[in-house]
Order: sequence, then structure tokens, then C-alpha cells
Amino acid sequence: MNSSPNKEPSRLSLGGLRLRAIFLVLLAIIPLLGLTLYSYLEQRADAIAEAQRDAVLVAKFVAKIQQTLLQDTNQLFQTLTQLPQVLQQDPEGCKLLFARVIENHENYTALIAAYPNGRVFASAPRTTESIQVGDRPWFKSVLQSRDMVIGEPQVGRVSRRFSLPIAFPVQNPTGQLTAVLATGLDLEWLGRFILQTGLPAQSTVLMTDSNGKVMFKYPNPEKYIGKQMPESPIIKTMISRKEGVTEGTCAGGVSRLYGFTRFSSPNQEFYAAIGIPKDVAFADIDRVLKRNLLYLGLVALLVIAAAWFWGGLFIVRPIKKLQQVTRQLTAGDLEVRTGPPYRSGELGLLARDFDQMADVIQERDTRLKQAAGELNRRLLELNAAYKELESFSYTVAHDLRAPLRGIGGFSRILLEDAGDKLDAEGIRCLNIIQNDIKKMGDLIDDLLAFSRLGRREIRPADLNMEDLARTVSAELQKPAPERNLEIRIQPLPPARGDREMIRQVLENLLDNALKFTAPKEAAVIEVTGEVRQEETVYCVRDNGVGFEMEYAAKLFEVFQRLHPESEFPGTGMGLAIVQRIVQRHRGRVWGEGKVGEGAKFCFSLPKEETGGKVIGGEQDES
Amino acid sequence: MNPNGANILLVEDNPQDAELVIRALKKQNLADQVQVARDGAEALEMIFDSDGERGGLWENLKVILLDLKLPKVSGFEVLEKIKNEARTKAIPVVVLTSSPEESDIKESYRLGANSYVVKPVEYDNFIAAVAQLGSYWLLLNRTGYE
Repeated sequence: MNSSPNKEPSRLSLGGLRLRAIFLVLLAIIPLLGLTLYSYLEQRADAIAEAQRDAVLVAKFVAKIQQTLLQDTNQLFQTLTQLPQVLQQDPEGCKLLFARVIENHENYTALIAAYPNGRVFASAPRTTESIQVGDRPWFKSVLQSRDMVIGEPQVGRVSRRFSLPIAFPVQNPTGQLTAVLATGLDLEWLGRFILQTGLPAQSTVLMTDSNGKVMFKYPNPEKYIGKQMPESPIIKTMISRKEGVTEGTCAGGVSRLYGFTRFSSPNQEFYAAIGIPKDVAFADIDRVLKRNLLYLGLVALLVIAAAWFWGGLFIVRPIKKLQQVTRQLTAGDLEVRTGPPYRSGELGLLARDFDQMADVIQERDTRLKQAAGELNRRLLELNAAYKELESFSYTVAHDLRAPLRGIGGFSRILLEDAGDKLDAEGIRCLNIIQNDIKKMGDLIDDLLAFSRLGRREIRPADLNMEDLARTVSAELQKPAPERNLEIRIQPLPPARGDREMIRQVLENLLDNALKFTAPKEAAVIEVTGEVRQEETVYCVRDNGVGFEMEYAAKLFEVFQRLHPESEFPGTGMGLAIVQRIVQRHRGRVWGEGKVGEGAKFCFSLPKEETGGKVIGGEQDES
Repeated sequence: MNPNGANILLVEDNPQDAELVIRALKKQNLADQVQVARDGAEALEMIFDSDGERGGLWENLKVILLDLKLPKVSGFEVLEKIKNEARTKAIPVVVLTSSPEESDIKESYRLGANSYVVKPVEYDNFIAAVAQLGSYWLLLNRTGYE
């Protein structure tokens, strides 16, 4: 048995049933995986939207507070400038007043009052040293504008906290500026606020003025506060869009979502932004995704394991059984069956069908063997009968010769010894006897030759048909060299066959052609050959007396003649011998003719090797 | 010494064929040298049996003309006996038979025949063939024993 087509599929080969089952499981899991990822992306989008909403909300809240603080500060200054201690520039009264204010409002880091020349005459918290603020930008600005001025953020000299200096002019009823009040509005509440609101860690708050100057930043206030950064992408977006959301990455590499808004003090605009780190916003849903993927993976593994086990138990095992039984059956064990009990389902049905098929095969095999035995017996009988027949015809032909020789011999002796006593009629009768004996001798010879053909072993050889035809035709022409005869031998393809037998075929056909052209003044005989698809065909054509086509099939029968023997001598065996030889070479013979115009006889030889496969070739000679 | 002095033994069951052979030999003046055996048994007796009236021929036979199809003991058996016997195996044996079968020819030579001639059916040919055989084996050929 050839092993390659029946090669056992390895457990993990692509064609294996188990792997296909696992593949199906994986296929079923793909939609779940897709759903998980889709839901994750949706949640992520939701998270972004939520974080953005939160950021904007907080930014607005912060802006609102800051705005309120600025308004409150304005109110505070409005009130203070009405008080007598401030109007009369009473240092001690002011100090007491300011101390109380600072105590009650923790948003103010300091509160001072200064003369128009910049010298501070009252401050809270108290200081002993004399403080000069005339050089401060906000101081100069308030002298000019005579209105509330918000200065640049700074670190408080006393509080060491980031604060926003806010200055306010004090004017007497005539409108003369008599003093300047100033306070530091604490900014660090923002940082604390961020921490207290429960915003995610690494959240950030940013406040700028309309020129892009950073008013506050948390965390790392000291790094940014007071810096002019209009080119920063976030600040740029804030100033151009006033309110909304954006994304950005800070120098530390943290990606954040920013919500921002604009707010205004009485005469100035500010921007506030809240940044919430993205990964913090996604942390929960990322965790959920990881968990879901893990669950999905576990489930998939479980199902695959189940498919492996189940596939082995319910698919692979019965199929292997079926396969094994099929192989046994193929190897010739017709008794083999998968056998009951049959499982339910298609595989069970298949096993049942297989057994039924095996039953049928076994039954047919039995019948076939019986038929073969019968056939063999008949063949042996036939062979015996055939041999008997051959031996009979041989014996008959053989034993006929002895009396014939006697008749011939003694009639001749009679002629020789007693010829002078016989009259002319007696001599004529004896001559007739002599002639008939010669004819009968020829008949017996032909019959013997014909009988021998059935038994003779064919010895195949490569034959040069052209040479053979030339030799035969030369020999046949010898007895009558004076005839006006042309034998044209065309190029003939080579053949494979028994040299003596094929020579006999050519000889008989050419002999016939010579014989039946004898009445013609100019005889033309042509030998042609042609290679066809499965056979090689040779033909002998003559322009002799021809024959009637309706008798064409009879020509090849033993002792059949279409012309009287008195005109054309012969035993009527020639074509029968031709047919027998050609048939034993597995070829065909046929003839065509037209009365008075000529005849054409053809025979074909198969192209394939004929050696040992010819009809009757296995007949032994005994 | 052979009392009959024959040097040709013709083994032939068909009297007509035997007569034709004798007639042919007669034309060569060899007819008086022929002894005829009608079957294989008689032939063996004539060759080997020295007691009988016609026995002991082996001593000066120059040729045996042997038919194959014979009653009682076949031509092959006769041939085999002659060729297996030391004193007779040098006698030339010519198989003269009607059979042109290749198997008969092969078997004859296998058993030691010196020649194989198919009897011609036609009288003239037959007479000519036997005459040639007679003159060749008796006049031309030299036997290898003394």
C-alpha cells in the first residue's frame, strides 16, 4: 500500500478535525472580542466627554470664585475708603482695622495703606521696618488711573505666599488722592481647591490674563507664575476661543484634557483652565477592558479545551475507527465491520452505511469469485476442446496424406508400368487422378499450415516492412518474368510482429494480386502503408478482376472462393490464413473491390508492443 | 555377419509407402539391400535380437529409414533405443515421415536422428527424395563403425 495518500494527519495539522473545531470556537469568540473593544471605545469616548465636562465645570467654578474674590476685594476697598481711620490717615487706627480685616478674610495675605509718595503708614500683618512701595508698578498705575489696579502676581514679602497685588486710591471729597490702599489676594487657594475637589492626581489649574501672562499655575507655581507665555498652545487656544475644551501635553509628558473659560474683573479679563490627565480619566475603563479581555481569554481557553476533548471523543475517535476499518477493507479483509451499537447522529449513520456497503461488497466479492471460478472452469474446458480440435484437424490432415501418396504413387506406377496397354481415355483418366491428387495435396498443406498458425507461438520482432515486401514480390515475380507487371512499393512504416507470419501475409496478398491481374494486359500492383493513431495499416491494391463488395466478408472464410478454380487456381485458404495471422497479432483485415476494376486488401497491426500478448500465444505445442 | 546382407532397414507400417520406397530404391539398384519392419517392436527385434531368423541386423546396417507414427512402439522410442545402445548408436537414422511439425523435428534431433525428411506427397518428388537418400547414405556416406 502506498503510504503517502493515507498519511495520518498530525494532531495539529490544518486539516485535522480538532483544529477545525478550535478554529470555530475562535471564530465564535471574535464577535465577543469585537463587542468588548467596541464598548471599550464607547466608554472611552464617554469618559472623554465626562472629563471634558468636568474640566469645563471646574474651570467655570474657579473663574466664578476668582471673579467673586475680585469683586469682593473691590467692595472691601470701597468700604475702607469711607472709613475715618483711612480718610484721616490714622496709622494706629488703620493698623487695628487692617488686622481685623486680615483676621476675618484669609484670602488676603496683607493689607497696607501708603502715602502718595509710596511710604507705607499702616500694614497688617504689622511690621516694624518702614516699607516703601512707590516703585511698584501697581502703585504707579493706581496713581495714574485713580481706580482699582490688579498688579502682577508675586510672592508676598511677609506671607511668602503667591498673591495678587490689588491697589485702590483713597481720595478726599475734592477728588485729591490722599493715600493708596493695597492688598495681596491669595492665589494658593487654587492649589488647595484642586486637591480638595477630588480631581484626579496630576490635575492642573492655570490662570492667565488676556496677554498670556501666567497669573497662577498649579502644580509648580514658582516655575511659571509671572511668565509671559502667549505662544503656549493651551494659552493660545484659551485666548482665541474664550471657553471650551482642548487637549495638550505638558513638558512632563502627561497628556491632559483642558477645560477653560474667561472671566473678568471690573476692568480686566482673565482666563482659567483646568487640566485633567487623560490616563487618569481612562484608568477605570482600561481596567475594565483588561478584566474583560482576561475573562474572555479564560472562557476561550475553557471552550477550546472542551472542543479538544469533545472533538476527540465524539468526532476523531469514531472517524479513526471508521478509517481503520476502511483500510482493513481496502486491504482485502471483507469481514471487517464497525459494528453496533451505532452512535446517534451523522457519524453513526455513516458507520451504519459503511457496514451496509461492506455487506454489499462482500456479497459481490463472493459472487465475483464464484463467477471467476465458473469462468476459469469454462476456459479450461474451452482450452481442452480447442486443443482437441487442433489435434484432430492436424491428425486428419496428416493421415490424409498417406493414402493420397498411395493413390498418386500407384496410379503413376500404373501409368509407367502398364501405359502401353491403356488407350487414350484410360491415360486421360489417370492424368485427371494425378491432377486431383496434386490439388488435394495442396489443400492438405494449406489446412495443415492454417492449423499450425493457431498453435504456433508468435515471436515478435521489429520488421522492415519495405524490405520484406520487396523480397516477397521479387520471389513471386520469378516464375513469370515475361508478364507486363509493375509492382510499386511505397515507403512503408516499420512493424512489430512474427517475421515468418507477416511474410506469409504479404506473400498471400501479393500472390492473390498477381493471380487476379493475370487477365490484364498491364498489371499494376501497389503496396502502401500508413501510420494511424493506434495502428499501422498496410494495403495491397491491384487493377485485377476485382470482386463484388457484397461478398467481401466471405473472402476471409476457409475454402471460400469467389472465382471458379478453372480460371484462378488456389485452395481458397490464402485470405483465411491472412486473417488468422493478423488476428493473432491483434490486428484487423478488410477488403474492397469492384468487379473488373481491381481489389484492395488491407491489414492493420496495433502500434503497441505485441510481444507475448497475442491471441493464442500462450497455447503450448505438444 | 548378417546372413541377409541388408544395409538398409525401412521401418514403415504403411505397405503402400513401403512399396513406393522399395520401388524408388530399385531404380538405384539398391532394393535387394532393404529389410522392412512393419512396426517399432519388429524393428527393435530385427536390429538387436541375434537369435531370430531376421535378427542381428545392426552389424552391417548403413542407414535406418524410420517412420515416426508406428503401431506398438513409436518411432521416437525406436530412435531412443538405437541411440542409447553403444553398439548401435553410430548407425545413421533418417526420420522419413509425413509430419512437417516443428515439434517432431526438434524431438527427433534431440534423440539423435541424423537427418529428417518429410515425405513428399507427389510421386515424382517422393521417388526422387528416396532415391537421393539411398544413394547418399549407401554410396556416398561412410559409416563410423566397423
